[in-house]
Amino acid sequence: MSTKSLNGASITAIVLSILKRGDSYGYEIISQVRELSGGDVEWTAGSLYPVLHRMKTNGWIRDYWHEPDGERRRRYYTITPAGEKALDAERRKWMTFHHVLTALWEPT
Amino acid sequence: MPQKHLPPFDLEVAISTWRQFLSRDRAILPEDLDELEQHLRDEYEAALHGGLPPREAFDRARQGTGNSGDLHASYRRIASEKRYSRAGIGREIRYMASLARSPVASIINIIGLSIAIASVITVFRFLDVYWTLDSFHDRGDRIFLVNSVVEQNGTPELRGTVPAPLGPALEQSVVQVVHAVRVRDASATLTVGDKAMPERVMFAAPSFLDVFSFPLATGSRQALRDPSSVILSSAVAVCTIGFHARSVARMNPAHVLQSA
Repeated sequence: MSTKSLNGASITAIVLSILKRGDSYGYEIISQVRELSGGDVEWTAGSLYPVLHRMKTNGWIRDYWHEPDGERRRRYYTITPAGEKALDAERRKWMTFHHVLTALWEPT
Repeated sequence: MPQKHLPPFDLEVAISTWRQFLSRDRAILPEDLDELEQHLRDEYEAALHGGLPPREAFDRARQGTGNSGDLHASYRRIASEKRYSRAGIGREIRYMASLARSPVASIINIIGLSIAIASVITVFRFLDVYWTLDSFHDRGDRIFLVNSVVEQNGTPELRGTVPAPLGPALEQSVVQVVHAVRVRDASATLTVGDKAMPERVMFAAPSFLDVFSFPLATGSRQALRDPSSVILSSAVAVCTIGFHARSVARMNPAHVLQSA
């Protein structure tokens, strides 16, 4: 992970937001984050899958196995209602940060 | 890189080797392995797309997935979190889990600790007896047992008995000797009313109670001057004449009472 300082809190918000848009799997989540950040944020499997497990324990996401015809089976994750509630809380937190920082960085 | 010396790259062989290596850690479940393998394959495909030859693509994919040390550590952490977050007990579960994870080391530790603790307890019990035995006598630092050394067949033997006249002789001729108490152990039958029981008894000089700290529950120390009087321990007294000492801190045959 290149942007180590954004550990923990930001991973949860990002993963939940991605899963809210649609079910996904580990590799796809990492690719999407790399794309959205223009290559700045590169998560490793070792840092993502533990977070996914933790979110599963919290009940925010569920996992299921999907076997597209002919291909190998893949583990997908989907967001739960509890996860959506957690995402709303995260969203409000980040928007607060955003407002405070943009206000502070306003050229005087 | 001199490629001609390497065997031709086989993706499935490489993957199964990689999988074997990871599966050594019990914390990574088979389904986690499947997930990681699929991740590895996705990375491989992406690297191939990017133009890399198969072997390099696989190396890139393996790096991207993460080295086995990190993965082992991450999954082990998950496993312990999962285990005690479900149980909700916390530290005890974590401890039991760490025991299960390294049974040999745990057994060695536990056995070693047990032996150490048992040894310390044994030493202290010995020391406690050594320090407290007969330590209650007020004049203890001035009480001495006179032994005799008898030579038998050339070897000197230490005996706790001395000739009977030695006591009075010491009292009379040595100024520093205040009292010389002679005692003799014997067995006798104690008869009270219709109760008769064998007892260990001791014949003692009158100064016995002056020298040793055996307080009387009732009666007087002068009883010892009378050769036909008896001093009983409160235990024996309770059994025979039904005496109950008013306060007995220790049920110890040293507490005696006089029966007239």
